[in-house]
Amino acid sequence: MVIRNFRKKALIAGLFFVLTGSLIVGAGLAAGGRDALAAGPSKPWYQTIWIEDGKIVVSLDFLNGSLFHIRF
Amino acid sequence: MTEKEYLDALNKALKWLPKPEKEICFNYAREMIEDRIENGFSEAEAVAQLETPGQMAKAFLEDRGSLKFKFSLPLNSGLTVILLVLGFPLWGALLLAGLMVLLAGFLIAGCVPFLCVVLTVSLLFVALVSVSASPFVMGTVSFTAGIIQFGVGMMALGGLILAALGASLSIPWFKSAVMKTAQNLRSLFFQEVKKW
Repeated sequence: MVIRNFRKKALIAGLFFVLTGSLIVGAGLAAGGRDALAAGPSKPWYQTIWIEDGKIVVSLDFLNGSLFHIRF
Repeated sequence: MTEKEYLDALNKALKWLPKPEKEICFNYAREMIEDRIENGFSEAEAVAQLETPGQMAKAFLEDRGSLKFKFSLPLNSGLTVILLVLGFPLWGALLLAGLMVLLAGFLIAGCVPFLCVVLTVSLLFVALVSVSASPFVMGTVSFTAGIIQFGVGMMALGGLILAALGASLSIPWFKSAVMKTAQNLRSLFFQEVKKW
């Protein structure tokens, strides 16, 4: 019972964070963030979202490899 | 029933078990009887309060997972052995193909929990870096880029919770599927030996 409730709470929390994050990203893009995301030569390593060749990249480099990398 | 009679009956129920394993069960039964005698019961009353020797033996074996199995094909017949050897190219190939299909199925099904675990770990790092570094991105790149990165961190946090939830559901499901399939496969070739 405890595990079931925990899973229900985890599902709600997960969906909440995904939706909230989407809203923040959407708001940032709507506020003109698309131009600010264009990756330049000075892009810091800790920037995990940028625009490259017209596509949005979400990536995290780790030990000379990419731990997480999606383009859309 | 006296303690000796109870232990003799237990010995009969466990007669095909190795001696050291039998001793573990005997010691347990002796302790249970002694505890009751120390609490003021007579030997006969103490024994009567225990499970029957058959029940205790069964519970002991199930607990230790030591049920015995025997090969179910009648290999004692010479004709069967000859037929098995001559038919090996046919049944051996079919068996191997079946096992390969099963293995492929397990590999595909195993991808689900594996993917969930990998996503959980990678999204954890993405969430940590994105959220903690977003103020620096606000300062060094631009404010809106930092806000967007913070949003990405929140999404990654949600994604990792969902991926961890998926892993917590799919790992027991996969484990249970493997165990059930192994049991079904074993029951094709082996029979459980019941001694009671």
